[in-house]
Amino acid sequence: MPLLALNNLNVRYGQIVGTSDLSLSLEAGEILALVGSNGAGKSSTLKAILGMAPYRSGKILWQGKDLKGRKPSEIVREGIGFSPEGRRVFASLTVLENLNIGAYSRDANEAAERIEQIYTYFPRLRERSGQRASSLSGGEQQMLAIGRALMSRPKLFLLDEPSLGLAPIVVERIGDILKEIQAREALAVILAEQNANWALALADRAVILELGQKTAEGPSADLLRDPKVQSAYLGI
Amino acid sequence: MLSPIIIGQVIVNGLSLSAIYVLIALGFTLLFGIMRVVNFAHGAFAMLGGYALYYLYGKYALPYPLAVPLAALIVAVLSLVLETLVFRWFYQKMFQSMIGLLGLNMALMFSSVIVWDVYERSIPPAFSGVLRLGGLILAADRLMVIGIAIIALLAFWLFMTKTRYGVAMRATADDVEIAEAQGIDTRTIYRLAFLVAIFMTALAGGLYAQIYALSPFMGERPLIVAFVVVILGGMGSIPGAALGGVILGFTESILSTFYGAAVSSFVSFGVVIALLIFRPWGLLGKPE
Repeated sequence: MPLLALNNLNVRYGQIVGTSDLSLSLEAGEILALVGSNGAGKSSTLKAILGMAPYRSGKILWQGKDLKGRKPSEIVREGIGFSPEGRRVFASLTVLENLNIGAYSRDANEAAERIEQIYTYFPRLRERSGQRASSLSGGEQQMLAIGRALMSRPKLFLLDEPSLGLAPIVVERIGDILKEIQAREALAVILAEQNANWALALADRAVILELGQKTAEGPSADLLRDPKVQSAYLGI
Repeated sequence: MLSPIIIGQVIVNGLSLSAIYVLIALGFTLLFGIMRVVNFAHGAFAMLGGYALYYLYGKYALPYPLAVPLAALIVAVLSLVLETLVFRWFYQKMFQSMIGLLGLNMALMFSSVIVWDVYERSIPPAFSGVLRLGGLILAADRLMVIGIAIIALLAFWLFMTKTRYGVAMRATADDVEIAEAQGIDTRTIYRLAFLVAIFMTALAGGLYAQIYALSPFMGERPLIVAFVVVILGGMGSIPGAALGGVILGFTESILSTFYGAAVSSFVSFGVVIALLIFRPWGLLGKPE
């Protein structure tokens, strides 16, 4: 049984199409990249998994269990962590408070231990621990958003557009840390990303989305060599 | 004109007014900042706080330090029914909430007329003496109001910064969608915020009714105060409510002592109108 399976998922916002008949599945410990341009349905897919976007038909199965109708806060408790597009850290809270919110569904002793671990991954966050999140740079906010999502020790991590608006060197750094975390915690990751080069380099497997539909799927290495993918997404 | 007696009176009146105003405005700003409802029924909850204190302290003679928080707590807990029946339908719907809660305000006010009639009652003062401090003469009941408010504000501050529910409430105020997506049951947080907001409002209402008078219509003034203070400080801003409350409290105290209540009202509202023109997001609010 896959960790997560989407079967013919149709996300709709009124008349606007989020995804249409999208099916995909993910094994434990696997990194899957969702690649596509703006409006391709990447965010809609992640939001639907977390119960934040309405879907008209189709199924989302988490370890075989249907997630339909569950609230996001309940789905997080199932072991799914989420770092949203645009980071959306809690601006008026300190770095430490942001991290503690990430562990809201866990007990307090666990949280203290987990924060140490997150600070080891992101030493910059330890230095900024008492500062308001609004005072952080874009890269630091992205680290905080990732750290916050990982506080609950998820089995699956939904990561939406982490490279958005960040300098290439910062993006590389975040990629390295992600790799380290993923290897250490055997975390499954769905990475929704416009930066296809970077996403395919990180992921084991990728799904290419266009207007909510899957147009290609396969191991990242294969997609990197696919001429169509190269011309459309990799700028080759 | 500036005798120590008058100075003492201006300070104590200013502080006690500020204390009540801050409590009322904090409740108002919490409801707006977290749930985006504009609570036009705010004064009605202050009024209910007044009646609760009237019964517990005035009629059943519970010890004052017990009666004050208990009265507010009873109003807050019973109001959860109204949260379920009315408020929650207006969360995140600012304009609809204004109309809906204006209706609720009428309903509560005139239900109170049916139950308690229109005449004014008074809640006996907890202390009648004065305190002499150097050349100053300070009214003991006003000092009591200041003390209660300081305890309530301190407790509120500790709750918001040190407890996990308080921090979750601030996170929810920042971004409700993401708070839910990080595992916070925002429905529960909304109910909790509502409880805290009404508790502080009812507490302030009890103190207000004790200083002035208790009637079904007494909520009008606290409602206006809540608006003025919150617009002054910035809608939804907690430090703004505190700052706005102190500014309004002292302005009223100073102006009404030296120039009379009418001048004081004119100046207070004049300042708010000027502020709305030049800095519509208030002193500590954020421009939208």
